[in-house]
Amino acid sequence: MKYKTLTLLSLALVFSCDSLFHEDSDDYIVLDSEQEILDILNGIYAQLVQVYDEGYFEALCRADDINLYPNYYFLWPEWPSGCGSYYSHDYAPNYENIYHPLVKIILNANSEILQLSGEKDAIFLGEFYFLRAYAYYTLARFFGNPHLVKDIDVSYTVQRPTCEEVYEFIEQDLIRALELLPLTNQYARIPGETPHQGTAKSILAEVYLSWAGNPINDGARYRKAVQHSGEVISARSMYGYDLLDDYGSLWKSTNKHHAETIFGIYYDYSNVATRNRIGDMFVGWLNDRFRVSSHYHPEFYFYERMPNNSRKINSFNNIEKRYLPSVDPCFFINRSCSTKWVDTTEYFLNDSISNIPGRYGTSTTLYLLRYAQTLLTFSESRARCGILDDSTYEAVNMIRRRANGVDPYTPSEFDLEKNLSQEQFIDSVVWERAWELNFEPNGRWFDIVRLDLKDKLPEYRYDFDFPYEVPEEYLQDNWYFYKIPE
Amino acid sequence: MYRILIIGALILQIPSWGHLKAQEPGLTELSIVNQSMDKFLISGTIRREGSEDILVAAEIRIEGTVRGTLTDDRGKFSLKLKPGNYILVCTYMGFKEKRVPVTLDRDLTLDISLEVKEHEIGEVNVIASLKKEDPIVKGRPIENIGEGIVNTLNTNDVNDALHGRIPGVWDTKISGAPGDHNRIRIRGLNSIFGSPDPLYVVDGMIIPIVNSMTLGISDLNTHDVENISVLKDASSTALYGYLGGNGVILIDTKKGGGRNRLNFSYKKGIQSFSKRYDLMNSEEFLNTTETSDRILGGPQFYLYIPSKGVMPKYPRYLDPEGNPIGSDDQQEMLFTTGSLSEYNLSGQGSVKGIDYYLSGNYYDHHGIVENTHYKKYTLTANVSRDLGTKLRLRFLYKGSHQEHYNTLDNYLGNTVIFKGINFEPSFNYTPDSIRRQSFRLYYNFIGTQLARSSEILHNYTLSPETLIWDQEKSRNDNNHSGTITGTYKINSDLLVNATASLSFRNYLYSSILPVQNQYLESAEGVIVLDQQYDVKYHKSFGNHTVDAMVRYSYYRDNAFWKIDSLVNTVNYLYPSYNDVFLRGSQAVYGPGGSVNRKLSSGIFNINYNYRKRYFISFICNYSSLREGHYVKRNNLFSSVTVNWDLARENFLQSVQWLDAFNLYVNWGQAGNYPLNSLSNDLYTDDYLYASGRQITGGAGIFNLANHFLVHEEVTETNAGARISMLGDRLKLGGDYYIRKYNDLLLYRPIPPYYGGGLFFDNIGEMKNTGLELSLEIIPIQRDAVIWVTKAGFSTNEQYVTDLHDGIPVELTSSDPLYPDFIIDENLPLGDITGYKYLGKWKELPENVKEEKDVGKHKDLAYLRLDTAQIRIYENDKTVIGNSIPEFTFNWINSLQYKNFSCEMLWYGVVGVDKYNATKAATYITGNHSGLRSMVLDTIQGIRDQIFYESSFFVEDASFIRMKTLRFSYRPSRKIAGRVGWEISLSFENLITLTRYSGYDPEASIYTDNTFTDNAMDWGAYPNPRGYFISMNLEF
Repeated sequence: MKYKTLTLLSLALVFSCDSLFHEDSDDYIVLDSEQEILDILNGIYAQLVQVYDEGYFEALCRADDINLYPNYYFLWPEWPSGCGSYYSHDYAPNYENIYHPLVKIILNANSEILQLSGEKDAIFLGEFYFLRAYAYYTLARFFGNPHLVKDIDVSYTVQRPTCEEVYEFIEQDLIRALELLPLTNQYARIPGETPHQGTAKSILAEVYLSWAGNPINDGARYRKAVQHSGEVISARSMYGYDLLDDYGSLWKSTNKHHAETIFGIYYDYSNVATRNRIGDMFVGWLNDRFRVSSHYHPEFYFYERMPNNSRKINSFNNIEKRYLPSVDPCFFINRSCSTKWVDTTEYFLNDSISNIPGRYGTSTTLYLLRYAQTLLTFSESRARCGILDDSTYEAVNMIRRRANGVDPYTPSEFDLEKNLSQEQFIDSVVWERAWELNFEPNGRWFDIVRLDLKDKLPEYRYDFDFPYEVPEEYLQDNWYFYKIPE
Repeated sequence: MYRILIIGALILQIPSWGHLKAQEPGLTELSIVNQSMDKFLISGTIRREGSEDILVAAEIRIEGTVRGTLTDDRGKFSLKLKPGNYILVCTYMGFKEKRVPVTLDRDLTLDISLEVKEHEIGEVNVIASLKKEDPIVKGRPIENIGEGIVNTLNTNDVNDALHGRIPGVWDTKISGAPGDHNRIRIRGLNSIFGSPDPLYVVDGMIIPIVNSMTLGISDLNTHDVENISVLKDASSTALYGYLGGNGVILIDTKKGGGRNRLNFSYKKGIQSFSKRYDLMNSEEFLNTTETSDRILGGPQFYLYIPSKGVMPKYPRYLDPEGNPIGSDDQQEMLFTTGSLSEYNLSGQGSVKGIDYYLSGNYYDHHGIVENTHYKKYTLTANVSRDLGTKLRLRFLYKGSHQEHYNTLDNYLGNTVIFKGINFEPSFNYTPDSIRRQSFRLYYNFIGTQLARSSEILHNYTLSPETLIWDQEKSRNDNNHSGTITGTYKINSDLLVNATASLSFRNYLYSSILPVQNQYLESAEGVIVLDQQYDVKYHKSFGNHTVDAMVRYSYYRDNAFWKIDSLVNTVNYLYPSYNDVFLRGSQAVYGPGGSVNRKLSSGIFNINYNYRKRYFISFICNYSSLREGHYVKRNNLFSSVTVNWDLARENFLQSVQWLDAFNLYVNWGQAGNYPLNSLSNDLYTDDYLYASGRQITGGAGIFNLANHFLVHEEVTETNAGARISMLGDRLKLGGDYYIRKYNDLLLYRPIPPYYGGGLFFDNIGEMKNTGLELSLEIIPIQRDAVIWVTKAGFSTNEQYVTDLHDGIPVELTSSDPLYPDFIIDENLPLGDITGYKYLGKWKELPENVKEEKDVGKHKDLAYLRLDTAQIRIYENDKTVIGNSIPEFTFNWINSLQYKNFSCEMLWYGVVGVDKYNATKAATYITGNHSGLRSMVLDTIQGIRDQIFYESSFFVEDASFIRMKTLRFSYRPSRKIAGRVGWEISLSFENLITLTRYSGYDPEASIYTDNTFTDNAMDWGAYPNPRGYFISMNLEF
């Protein structure tokens, strides 16, 4: 009997041990906790950081060199030979680094959007829609008409949509995000950083502005751009947006959270993985010894011709640094770069702590959209709708005043002349936008694309830039858009 | 007329030809019927109790003697004995032993019936216990290896028993390192990127395969094994459905019962390895380098050390007597004499109605490369008891602990061997201060570029001593499993069986290389639950026999893994996962993961036999597989078998010499392995973002998986014949099969708009055709001498027949030491591609030089395919070898003379090529003697990648090897009248015939897919020659 009881008990034990297993094997797939959603969101922001690397700015900096074609890799002899192994360097824009992280962002957002419900996770869902829209917007501006992917089941038959379909998709996402996101900054997931309705609205205004221009040229969208940017400007106190008085202070790494940020990505020097290291780029010719080509030259050429004001001074910094000149005269790094990428003083300060490459970086915030841009968008789109009233003038004048170091809200000598024609006014705003956003992630390049300025551009090149010829086959490419990497 | 039978599983495995099968656990006994006239004849028939079924090849032993016989194919036996009192012990596998006392004073006729041991008809016994009679075995090429072979293996590795024993099983001992290093392929490579490994089923319980590391049965103790059955064809593996596609190896361990006895065995062995590459010594090396730099114009460099100034370019170091030091061969530093010892203690028998088998084993093995060793501890307990007359319960526990120390070759071979011999001979003897500079000298000889692009450079600062003594790559495995089986006999025809097993397996791998600040740890575990419920029915009426089985089985496993890896760079540690190589398990890329699989199957098997001539069998297996998030599949696997025994037909009844003539055809389906989480998206949690004024971690998908992935499926048609004649002294067997694979898993790039990367897709079809032949002859069968010789031959041809998108899968590597491979429609699998080397240009005859397809690259000539181009380049690559053998064969001889026995096993693998990367590396680093003549001959072109990707380094790795030679002596007289003993002497790999110039033609490495594994010798750990002596005592 004892045997039987024992046996039956142990039998029951073994035959019922199915419960030992965790039913939920696919932890990552089913989002069962808020922490996992936050992990994915953080992952998306981390990938967004990856987009804005050297390759991104190189792609922007080719703006005025009409001889450079987007898909043509040209090997720049960046350094004179005979000096170490640095005699050649491939500085063709690495647009794969733009494409891939954006696609990953879309992929992760898709995965979450398919699973989250609007009632329970509205704030997260809104953020995912917003981020997906932003990623598509960036893709659309670089690649024209990227594939629209809404799921995570790989299909080989997805066709390229029209550019218009892409913008419609972005619009839909942003409208959904507007419904789901918290109303203002103070209710945002992380106040001052994560999107709220004001952010979505401002981005939507930018989307409409791009939509209205090349390649779709749907002029009716200017009205929507006016509407959304106007709403942001009139409700700026609610959203907490404002212009900072000091242009230069925007890019101090100590000034991370302030009223001018609409959407940005953040860095932290304390960890090597979260450092802003965009300052690794450099403009080589500033060093006398190495007057050679660089992809940054066209942009720098433009910079040199900017109106001489505090804005220009605060846009670029030239610091040369040599490592161990006594041992190896070739081993130097010239870190001349835009202060809008990194806080250059801090960047090189960090650099000097140790001579080991890889240590440098800053905590400088990179603005993906700031209030100044919304003002310019408002001003331009309003002018394009034919409304040249005071508020149209005021928006651009604020920018002009600050650029010259005076109070943005007080009329000054730097204001635009009144009674310009529509064309003249728009021209002024476009130039203002180019100077204001020079070297920034939404810089001049996108305006060149949007306004189809290819044929009006001067060829900015230095005489010592390396001569090259673009092979015939690349001349057929669309000059404005990159090819999707294969 | 008499019949002599061998009970000699110890020396040789007699496969089940359908009729005769000798089975005697452990002992080598020979019984010969004496024909003396003053003896009486005992004859009779042995039947299954409660029926008229006769038992073929049941054993009748005279207790206390070595005499005995087996029943013939009509269930009859006869023995002649002197008058007296005897006890006849009748045994038959799957039946209870019966002891029949007889008093012999006249000729006797006995009718003995044996009772079925129902509880033994477990999972394995569906096949194993019915070897002679079980319907399912008929018409299916199922083969067995008995305990006599497994228990006497030289190393404690059950897989070794499959070496060269069974046609169609290509078993490669891929490494001579201690521990389990077998690669078993049944009827070809059944998958390219999935797992091609067979399914192991131990005592009915499925051994999970999670990835390469938990693979296999290395935890088993060879002494515990009673029988191994190999199911090769899909008509038998359909029983295992999704798991059966690669063949199934059923292992049955000892169950206890019978007479109480204790067995102790001890083994001691040594292993030696003497083959060497011809490498230059320090003096030769420096001379050659100097010459090379002068003649070939070596790259200019100077040795500059700030504190010491300029150093000599070709430094010579002399010992106090003025002789150059460093002239020793560094290979002597790497290799040593291996040693092995094993202790095994086991007891079995029956006490108070409880049948038991208990065993403990300790195995300790030091390899032939310095500082490599392996230890294994196993403990087994198997007890069973009847509860009443109808219910029987069995408990089984198996536990093991294994310690591997530097014996596990990770991806790309053994670093100690590969990097150890690619080392400047004088390096080790240079003063410390200039070591670092010295390495520049070392690889400048052939060129930085080549060395940098290959693996060799990575460890340039590590001397052989550092490699041998400072790295610690260890893995500790633990396995514990418990099984409970209950068998309930409803009536003599109907039986219900329920089994549940729970097992835990885990390992911890760590790799520490202090000099390079590398720390890697990975851990993996798996919990397995396996349940089976069987209802079995057996009925005979008249000429009809029906066997049926209904089974429900439920298998579930939950595997999890974690990888911690830290590599120290200049000033921070960053994680790196590259060192962990896990094939066929994409989800484990990255820091960790888990997979949960559930497999439930409903199986129905019915077998019908009419007049013992016509046999038909069906298996239907409806399985449902659930794995991870996406895999939810249901599938029906079925098989049918038809067998016809011609010898029983009337028209052949008159042919006296023909014992059996079975012809059969079968067809079946089976699936390849569970998808091992391949359909789960890969996430990474590597992201860091400085959000919220603090740094937070992030996660995200970084590689999508194919959510619609399905298992690979094999459909096989097999036709065969088994002929036995001349009183079973001549047996012939043959099988021809065609295996077709649907939904072949191959890599496919993910479109960039889905994030790019690679995933698996079912995009191909593959076909294997093969022939297996076997022959067994007993040329001598005398009173005291028996000689059995047996040969097997198998061939397998394999083609990818279809790629759905038509795009060939090219496996190329920028590493000059890694040849290229291609998978394309109608190309044989395993082709190695590269440049065809024709020789030195100046040595070619003039007429050859003028031929269009002969191209010149510097001073070397290669085959030129693209004749439009003068230079030799990418388009000139062609097939330069194939890594899959054309055929394999074996030849087994066993000879028994009185108490002595001898067995010899030859194994041959023919028509296989290998890229000898070890040798190529010694050319790149410049210390191979073969290079010296080329340098002195001012041959240009030996620094170029083309040379290293050429057929110059592809060698014919065919070999014929005497795997085993074993002598044993087992006296009939016991020590002190009660302790039986046996002593044996065994040799391993005593003779190897090969043209391969490397260390070992059999050894190979582990790559990222199944068919390049065998194609490369990248510092593969060679199989040594071994000498073993063992002693066995039985109380």
